[in-house]
Parts: sequence; structure tokens; C-alpha cells
Amino acid sequence: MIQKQLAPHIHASQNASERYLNMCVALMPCIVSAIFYYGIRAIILLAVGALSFFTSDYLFAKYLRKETMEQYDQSSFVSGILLVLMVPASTSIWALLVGILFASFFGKQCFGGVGCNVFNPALLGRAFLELFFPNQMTPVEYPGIFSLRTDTLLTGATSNVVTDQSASTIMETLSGRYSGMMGVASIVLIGLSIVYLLVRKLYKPEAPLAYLFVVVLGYFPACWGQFSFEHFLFWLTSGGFVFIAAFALSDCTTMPICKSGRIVFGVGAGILAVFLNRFTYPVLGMVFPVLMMNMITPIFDFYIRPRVFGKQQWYEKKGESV
Amino acid sequence: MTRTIIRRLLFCSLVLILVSGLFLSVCAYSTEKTRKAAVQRQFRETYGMILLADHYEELDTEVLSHYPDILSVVAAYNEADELEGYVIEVKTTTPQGEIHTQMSISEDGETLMALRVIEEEGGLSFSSTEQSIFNDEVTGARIPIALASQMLPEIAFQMEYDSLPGLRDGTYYAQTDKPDDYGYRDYVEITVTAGRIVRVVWDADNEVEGMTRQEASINGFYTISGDVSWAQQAYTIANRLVVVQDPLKLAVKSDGTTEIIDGVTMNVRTFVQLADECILHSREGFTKDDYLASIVPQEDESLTPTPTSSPTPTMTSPANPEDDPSWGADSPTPEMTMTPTPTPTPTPTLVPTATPIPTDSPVIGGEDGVIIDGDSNVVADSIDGLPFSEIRTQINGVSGNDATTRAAITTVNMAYKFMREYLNWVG
Amino acid sequence: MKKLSFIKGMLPADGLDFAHKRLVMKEAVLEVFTPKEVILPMVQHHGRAAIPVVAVGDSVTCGQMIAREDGNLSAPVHASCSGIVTKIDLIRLPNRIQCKAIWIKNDLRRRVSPNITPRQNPDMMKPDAIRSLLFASGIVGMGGEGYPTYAKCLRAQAFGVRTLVVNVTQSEPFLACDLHIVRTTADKVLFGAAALAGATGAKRIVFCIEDAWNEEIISIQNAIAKIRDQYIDRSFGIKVFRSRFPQGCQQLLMKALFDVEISPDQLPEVACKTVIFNTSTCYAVSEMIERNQPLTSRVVTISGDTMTGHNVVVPIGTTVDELLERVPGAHSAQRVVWGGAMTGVALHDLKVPIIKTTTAISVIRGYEPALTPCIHCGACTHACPVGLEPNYINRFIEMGASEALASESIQACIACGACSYVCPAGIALSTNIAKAAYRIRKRGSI
Repeated sequence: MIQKQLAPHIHASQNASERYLNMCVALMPCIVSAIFYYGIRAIILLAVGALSFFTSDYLFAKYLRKETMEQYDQSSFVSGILLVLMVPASTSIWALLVGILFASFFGKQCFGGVGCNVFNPALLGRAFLELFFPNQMTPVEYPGIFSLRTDTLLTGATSNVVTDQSASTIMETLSGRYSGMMGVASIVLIGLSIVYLLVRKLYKPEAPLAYLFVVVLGYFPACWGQFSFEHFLFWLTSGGFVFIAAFALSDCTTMPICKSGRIVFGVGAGILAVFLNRFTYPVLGMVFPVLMMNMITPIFDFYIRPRVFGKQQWYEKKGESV
Repeated sequence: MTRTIIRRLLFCSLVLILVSGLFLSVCAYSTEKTRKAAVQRQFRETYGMILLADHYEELDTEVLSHYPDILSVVAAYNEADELEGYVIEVKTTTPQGEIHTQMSISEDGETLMALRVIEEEGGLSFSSTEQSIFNDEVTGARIPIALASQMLPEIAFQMEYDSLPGLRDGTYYAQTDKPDDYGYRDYVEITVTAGRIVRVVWDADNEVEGMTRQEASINGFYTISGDVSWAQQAYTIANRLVVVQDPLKLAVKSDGTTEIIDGVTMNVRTFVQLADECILHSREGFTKDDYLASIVPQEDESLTPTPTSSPTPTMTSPANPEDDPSWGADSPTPEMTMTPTPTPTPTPTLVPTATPIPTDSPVIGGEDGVIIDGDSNVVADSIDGLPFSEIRTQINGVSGNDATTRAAITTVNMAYKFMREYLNWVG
Repeated sequence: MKKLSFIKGMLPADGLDFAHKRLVMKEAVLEVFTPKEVILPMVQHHGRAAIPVVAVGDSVTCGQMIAREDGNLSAPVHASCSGIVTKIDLIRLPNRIQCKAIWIKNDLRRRVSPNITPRQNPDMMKPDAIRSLLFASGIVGMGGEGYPTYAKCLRAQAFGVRTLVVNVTQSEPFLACDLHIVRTTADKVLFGAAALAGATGAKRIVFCIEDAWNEEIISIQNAIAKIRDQYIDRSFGIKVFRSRFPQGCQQLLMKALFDVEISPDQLPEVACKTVIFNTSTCYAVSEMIERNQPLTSRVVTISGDTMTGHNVVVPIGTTVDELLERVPGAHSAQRVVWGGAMTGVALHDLKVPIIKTTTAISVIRGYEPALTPCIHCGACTHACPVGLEPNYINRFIEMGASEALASESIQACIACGACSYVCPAGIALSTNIAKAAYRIRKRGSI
């Protein structure tokens, strides 16, 4: 019995695995930046992060949810790399593993696996690490290029002397030469990633544009009295806004489907980001707004829909259709 | 996942890696200078007061891991790229409290050039006058240092023994008339401070051999019967005299031995005689210099005391030993007594002058330290983990703030230990 | 010229713009295929089956009526080649229609029925005459719908349509048959369209074509310029559409042209006073009127993603395997699709005839996308021309949630297949939705 071949008989070239691998490729500039500034340690952390996320996803899916997957898509690698890029280099391996376990289970598997997660798993893991391992999450002075410092890999480093970032020059800020989280630093490189994603047509720019617009606007009330171009750059880079705009707001699973829904998402996330960045500290302002808006995504999807042919939207007047 | 797709992905990732690597390298290269300048600027801001130099370089050595309290060690260079010194920042918790200091040490690790106590919440600190007083004392001093009064309590302040009356402060000396069969001429030297004997040395010079008997004993050239070497026995009894203050209390029998001191089994009559003579000289104020000047005519025992003109260090330590809490046994670092209430000094002047120990006379036996068992015969052998033989400078400290002084000294000694280890490591 | 389209907004990832990948040979003269045998089913149209009037062993000529219509909503079948009737038997067509069919073995003598003669004064025909001619010609909607043209004209006239739309948008991938007709014989198409306009009573004739086909647009414009004076009571126009799939669907055309949204069970004649005809239909009408030639052959595109497409004039009833024998590289393909690549049917047995409504044979390499879970990317929602959300509908169908489906209005689905096309997870969305819609229509629930 020949298997039925269903229409349509041609198919668009991109499939899910390729999408996620393209995302991994788009993360390359940030990975290079992390390795460039943090040396071998970054390589180790990235490899551990990506592989352990994949493993934990696979094990959970196979044994907990009993899912048989003919083809495994590479979304766990993306989440793992994202999570590692957001932690500072002083993180110890076992803290990272705990964070990844948490992110994999609570961020993805307990909702039903790929495509069903409500929260962005990388951001959820980062929030967990921030709350439960705060002393390891303090930014570390970057040890320099091609550094081999792998001590404290297991136990985590205590905070060392950190030079003041707001004293960095523009060039340093743009290229990411300041202490902070590993891959978040250079906005020029993140811009390169965005360009690549745009070229590959994986990037829907409505939410990030709305988000960045609100964040830039929010700079003025938030930093009243400290206006300068350097300070503006410092605001942009230390808050991790561009990183979030590039990678967290382009994650298809956790974002609303319709364009207007995404714009509302971006605006909401931007307002929350400005608020949290100003009144708490920048890492919270990076991670939590998106998580909070992710909670509301299903509501957006329910109420903000494309209009079906012949039917009216729920917010339109009850007129006559043809 | 066809091969073309994989190939395309790899190609794209390669391109991205190359572009970003190039960008980062270019930026790193162009920001290197400003970065270095910024770092140097920050160093100068932090350390300029302590040691002004052309450029600084932070030391990164394994030795640092042995000293967790040392926050950073920075080497300072002048324009000719010569090492000028080291700036060491220490933050530690001493029995007096928390203290955070910055100090600069010469490049050979021997001299303290400047010290500054950094004010912190909950930590010890100096007022600006106290800081300048302290700086006057320690600048240029050889490290390691100790509070002069420190040396006292560890050796001298044993509460049961009163000092002999009528002793005048100073250093007093007595030697035998003739050298013995081996050419050694014994001498005893005592130092009296505030009416108490604080230091006793018993040794013998040998003009022929060139070594003192202590040195010979330590090096194995002079041996006596029994397990304990001559040097140790001499040191023990000398310290015992410091404890008991009176040679009579050493209970030396007619055959010259004593039974009440552990480890001392040899004939110590010479010592007792010379010690008596020193005490006599002390009562008369006949200092060591006077004595040595009067030696040339050998029988000449000038009993005319020359009035001592040596500056009397005004001690800030409590005059009454009973105010002192007791010393703990066996502790290499002294249980600090200075903190509770330093009682006002006998003299109202607050400008003590330091009397440094002459650097060429070692504290006998101090390099290995001797701890004798038993409660009141304890002699502490070290300060801050450093044996007394290593202590180079005694300072008087800042009166009214002994706690900070003592704590600052602890930090200096810690820096000294680090420098010693580091320089041994390097050179 | 302003370009119309059915969706405003962002194109989905692939653009669903199949025009720019289409390589079409611009032949001037088409090869006329000569089959060895033709199979003529009785049901090639929407309506009742035709009734055979010949018996096995009869000798027939090309153009001879071998099955007559059965009632108003029916169409006769004419022999597309001369020869001998070898078999009359049941056949199952790929579109799941089971009916009788007549096998005719070609005697290669090309005997033509004597009825086929050029007509005098074709322009002077009255609407009634045209309609009766249509009835006898067996012309049905050749774009795939298969509605008998006669019945359509009647219906249109009854509803009083004012506009006649000629659908030249070939938005399905690889198709080029209508384009060829328009490029080479645009005046005939115009003539046919004008005749149909007369038959239906429409006063306005509009050609809808995609923007990628510039030559064809020019040729239509020239033909309109030539013919305009003859029909002063009718107006002719061209509307250019953006190359998107599925631009040619009738609801979407109505939305683009008149901004009126109709559901699949509504008629454009009623809602917009418009009747839509396919280009091949117009051409066949013009052939019938001018030369009394019934519908016996049509232009078919043989194309695919492995080859350059070319058009062939194929007698109706030619089997696919015969057709593909002449095409190099057709056997290495994994799929042979009867119809367009997006909405056609994959053939397992190549002994299937080409019927009146077959526009193309697509020869596909057969890319089977790997199946992963739905990643909620929303590509299907972007691609859906009628504004459904196929990802959620698919989830509801998998979960069997009928009440949730009730609010998703899946009856509006036009089964274009765009959602399945763009889905990165390889989920067969349009099939699932079409099945569920069918089940809901029949049973009321999943």
C-alpha cells in the first residue's frame, strides 16, 4: 500500500531544524565576542551549556513525556547557548547545570516540549540563576584576550575588582570591552546577528523595533540629568536591551503570532524594561520584562487575530457582511 | 537536512566568525591604549598617595593564593621601567577588629615606605593626626615591625614576679675578666625598660674563632654533654631571668646548676655573676657604653655613674602589670591586651620616639623560638607568625589608638611575609 | 498600473510567489500530441454523467459526439481522436470520481467530423444561439472547476451579472497553459470572452493577470485595442495582480476587485454580479463559435521542479503515461501530480486520462519535509489568504476539541495548501483542516 502523498506536493525550503541552526549561526558573533574576551572558560561554558541543555531536553522528553521524535530539532542548542551567553564568566559549572536543568524542565518540558513553551527557557534559566546564585552572577573583569584562566570553574569566583564601566570610551562600549555578561556586551556584533537573521528572513522586526523605541524613549525620563552620548550608550549596553531585542523577541514560540500583538508585546516589554532597569538593577530589567509579557502571549493570540474572510473582528461593529 | 543546507550554514557561520573576529581585533587594538591609560589612571588614583610612580602593574602570582587577606599587589615602575616598589593592599580581621590598609614597600621587600589606613565602616581607622604620627614612625622603617610594648609583654609581663627596685632604664653590660680555655669571653647584657628587665642576652665572644659561642653552638662547633645545646640552655636561662627579674630566683646552687628550669643542666654560675653585675650597673646607671669605654683598663670598674642620656621611651603600655590580662600560653601571636582601656601613660607627652633594636645584634635563639612547657615559663617566640629574630623595627605606635596600630602592624607583617615568599619565589 | 492583491501586508517567508521561479519556454507553435489511445470519462464536469451513445466496436471521428448530456447540468463528450471504440468500462479518476469511460483506439487517420466547418458571421450570433452552441459543445470550466459553461451562462444571466472576468492569473506553480494561449492567440480569447459576455449579458470584461507576465499583458492590450471598436457596448479592461499564490481563487479575486468578501458557498454572481471564466474556456468558446469545433483538445503544461515547463496541445483523454514517455527525465521524478503542484493529486497509476479540467501534469522531485512538532512560528497564519490560524486549528483537531473549533470558522478554508507549504515542521495542515471541515459539514463535529 503506497503511502498517500498529500497536496501540496512542493514545499517551502525551510524546515524547523534549519531555522534553529540558522539561529545558532546568528549567535556566532556573540559567541566569538565571549570567547575573545573570556578565553577558554567561555568555550567550556558554552559547550557544557549547549550539550547539557540538549541532553536534559532529550531525556525529559523521552522518559518523562514518552515522546517519540523522528526528527529532533535543534531548539535546545539555541536555548543553551543563549543562556550561557547571558551569564557572567564567573559562573561555576555546577551552577550552570542547575540553571539549565531548571530552564529545560520548567521552561520547556513541563509545558509540552518544543513549540508549547510559554516562557522563553533561556530567560527563565537566567532569572533562576540570578535569584538563587546571586553572588556568582556579579560581573567579572574580563581577564583578557586568549586567557586560559580556568580556575574556579567548579566553585565559582568571588567578585574581584571591577573597573567602572561608565568610564569606558565609546569605542570600548561598542565593541564590548567592559565587564559584564559574556555575550551581551557588544551591540555592534548583535547588530550583525540581526542583519544575518533579516537576510535569512527569520526575523520579524515589529516587536524588537517597538521595544527598542520604547527603551530609547525611556532613557530620557529614567536618566534625568545625566544626559550624554556615552551615558546613553551605557544605558543601552548595560541593560542588555539590544541582546533581548535580537534574540528573545525573535523567538517564534513565545511571541504572539499577529503583527499587532507583537507590537503590543514589544511596547509592554519596553516599558517594563525601563522601569526595572531604573529602579532595580540592569539584569532584572533585561530578563523579567520578556518573561512577564510571555505570560500574556496566549491572551494576545486569543484576542488579536487576523480577520477571517467574511467575518468581522470581535472589536468591530456588528455590521453586515455580504 | 541536505548537504547543501549544511554547507550553506557552515559557510555563513564562518563568514560571521571572521567578520566579528576582525571587528573585535580592530577594536581591541584601537582601545588598548586608552584602556591602559585608564587602568593606569585608576591605579594612580588609588595608589598615588602611597607610591607615586610612572606606571603600575598588577602582580599575578600563585603566592597570592596563600594570603587570602591580601587584596592586591601592584608593582610600581618609574619611567626607566625600573622597579620602584610594591604597593600592597591588605584587608584582614585581627583580634582588634577589621582593618584595611595600603602600604608601599621597597623593591627588596625590606623597607616600609608609607602606610595608609583606609577608613571603612566597622573597621579600625586613624584620624588624620594619628595617621601622620604613625607615618612618621614607620616611614623608612625596616619590616617586619612590632610594637615596642609588644616585646615587653611577651617576655616580661609575667604577673607573679616583681621587678627589682631601683633599676634604671637602659642597656647594661658585663663581661668576664678573662676568656676561658677555648677563648670565649662570656658577657651578659640586660635591657631595662620602665624599671623592669625586658631583655637578657648571654653569649660569649671569641676573638680567635670569630664566632660567638651561641653561633658555634648552633652550628655544631661547640658541643656540650646532654641533649640540649648550649645556645638553647643559655637562651632559656636568659629568658627565665627576664621572667623572674631577680637572679636569686633562678635558684642556682653552689655547684652552679639549677634544678628549677627545665632543660638547663649546665653550669650557669658565670651567668649569674655577670647578671648580678649588670643589675648593679643598672642601679648605678652605668650603661653599656660607659662600661665598654671603661674596659680598656681591665680592672677599672668605674663606679661613677654617668648620667644616662639615652632617651627614655615613654611607654604607652599600662604601668601596672595587674591591669594586663594574662598572656595566653603557646600562642605565637600575642593575645592582644591593648584594646580594652589603655590607661594613661606616666608621662603626659604623647610623642614617643622609637628605639630601634640595633640591627646587628640578633635576639638570641629567636630564629627558631623556644617554647618551654609549663604555664608561667612560656616564652612566645613570634609575633604575627614571625620569629623575634626577624623583627627589625620596634615602634611605639600611636598612643590612644593602640588597636589600630597593632592591627596595622599585623598587616605590615603579613605583607612582609608575602614579600619574603614572593621574592624567594622569583629570585 | 496599480497592482491588486488579496492580502495587504508582509509576505510569508517564501513569498508564495511562484512566478519568479517559473521557467517557461515561450514557444510560438505548440506541439500537438498524438496519443495511441484515449480514455474519455463520462464525468469530466460538475453535474450529471453523460450517457454514451456509441457502442464497443464503433468507428468514431474526431469531434463526434460519443456521449450526450443528461439534463441541463451536464455536458456532452466528444471524441478527441478518430478510431475505434475498444471498451466502455468503469474508471476511477484521481479526483475520486468513479464513472464510466470510453476507450478509443487511435487509428491515426485523423478523420474529422463533418460538422466542424467554419461558421459564417460568427459575430452576428445572438445570445440564445451562443448558449445552445455552448450546450452542444461540451465546454466546461477548464480551469479545474468543470462547471458546464452553458449552465453557467444561464445562471449568470438569471442573476443579471454585469462583469465578466477572464482569469489569466496562473498562480499555481509550474503552470503556463493559459499564458501561452493568451500570448499567441489573445484575439481569439477576446472573441470568446466577448461572446460569453453576450451570452451572459455582461457589459464589462476584465482580464486578471499577474504582474510577472509582461509579454502576455502586452498581447492582451493589443488584442483589446483591435477588438474594441467591434464591441462598442462592452468595455474591456486589464487588472494586474501581484504574483502570489493563490491569487486565482474566486473569493480572493472578488475581494481584490470589488472588496467584497464571500464565503465558499456563496456565488460571485449573486454577491458581486460577476461571472468568472477561465482563459482556456474562452478559447474553446471561440473555437466553437468560429469553427464549430467542440471541446476535444486543450493546452496542458508539463512541468515540474526538475525541468523546464513546456505546453503541449493534448487531445482530451490522453493517458498520462503516454504523455510522459515523450518527456525526458519524467521517470526519475518521485511524484507525478495530476494538476497543479499545490492542489493537484499525486498519481500512483499513470494510466489516467487527461480530462477537460486538467491544466497540467507536474513532475515533482518530491521533497518530503521532516516532521517535527509545531514550533508556533505563525508562518501558516501569515500564509493563509483567508485569515485563518492553521496552527491552532491543527492543535484543536489533534486534541479533538470541537467546541474550540467552532470559533475558528474553518468553513472559510479554500483548501489552497499554502499553510502546508510554508510550515517548517512539515505538518500537513491543509489536509487536516480540509478533512475536519468535511467532517464537520457532514457530521457536525470532528
